[in-house]
Amino acid sequence: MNNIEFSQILEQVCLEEYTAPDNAPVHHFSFRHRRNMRRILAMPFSCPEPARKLKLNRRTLCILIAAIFLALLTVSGAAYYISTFIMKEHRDNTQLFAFDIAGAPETIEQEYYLSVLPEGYKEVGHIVNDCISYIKYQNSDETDEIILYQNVKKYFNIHYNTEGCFFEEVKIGEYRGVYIDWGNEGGDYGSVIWADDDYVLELYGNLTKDELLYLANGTKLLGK
Amino acid sequence: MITAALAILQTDEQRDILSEFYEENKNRFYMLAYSKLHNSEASEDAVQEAFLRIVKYPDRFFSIEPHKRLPYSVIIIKNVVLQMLEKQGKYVFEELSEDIPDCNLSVEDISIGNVARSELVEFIKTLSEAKKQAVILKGVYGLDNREIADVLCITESAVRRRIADAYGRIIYFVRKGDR
Repeated sequence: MNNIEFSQILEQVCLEEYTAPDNAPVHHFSFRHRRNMRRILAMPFSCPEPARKLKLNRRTLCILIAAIFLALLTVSGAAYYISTFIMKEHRDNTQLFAFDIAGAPETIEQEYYLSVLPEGYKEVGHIVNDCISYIKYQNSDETDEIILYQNVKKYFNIHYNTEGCFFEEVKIGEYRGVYIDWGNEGGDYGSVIWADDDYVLELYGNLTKDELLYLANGTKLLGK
Repeated sequence: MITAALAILQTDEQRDILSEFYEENKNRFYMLAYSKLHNSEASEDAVQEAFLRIVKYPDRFFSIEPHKRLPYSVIIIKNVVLQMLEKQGKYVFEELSEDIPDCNLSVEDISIGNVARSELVEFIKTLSEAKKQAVILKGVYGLDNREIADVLCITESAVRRRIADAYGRIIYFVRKGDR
């Protein structure tokens, strides 16, 4: 017997021990799980190579305005903007882009965090790459969670499943944003999405609108 | 410009593959977690946490041959579940001494001698779950200690001890069988 057989033995153990049965009954996943999985699977795995920065001369500006105008005319549903976002309404979802990306960083250079947390909550997960930062906070019972997403404006392009959900314009400090009430599937679930000069931030959690807005107002840059 | 387009295409492809993989297997992942946790919400969280770990290190996932991706994900889910049970005080990971000597052997260095293949397979299956996961991630998936530590959310030192202890037991079993 040669030595390579050991690796084959390990492979056999792996395939026998770690293959989950195929006959699992269909489970109806909760809204919270489905939403979180949508976000996880939509997370950019790697960022596109940064493109050359456009100089906003008169010609570029005209092209940009024309492109936005054409986009507004040709989208499948209505398109409009709330302060910092262009919102494209599709049949069953709403797509959000950042409106003003000029001068905004093209990678996550500084990270935000929640300076205020509800009692019993602590940070339990943190992922950051060039395009997005994700911080998960959880209560001590591990039943409720709050997630803070920080997106690079240039790559922020997210479809929100807003079927039957309620959109509302809100103010976070000096910045404007939107509040989405996901509570149509039961319980208090909401997202506050806003953009400052540099990044698009989203705070998601099973809290009331006022609680989320309070926490959103408490976001701070790390180390400041 | 072409480079940028290719980079985006690759990302979209990866996203599609992973989404499809999740859709195909989500029920079995959930059942796997539920069979240990007996709690629907916690089981969904375990699946979610496992995918977060996969997304965190996408290159590792996509470098794996497609037929080995399912066992790789199952290893991560089982690990997440055990860590959740440990938090609840329902599972204890075996304490391994810091004194376990380093094991710099690679799988190619281990000779199985005259031990019957089936016997060794059965013996490896009896190792603790934590050791088995570390040995398989190293031996089958080619991850180094740092990468295993990242995927299993443990320290590199714990990975080193688990692998050294498992290899020590395997070598002892093989030598005993040779005598």
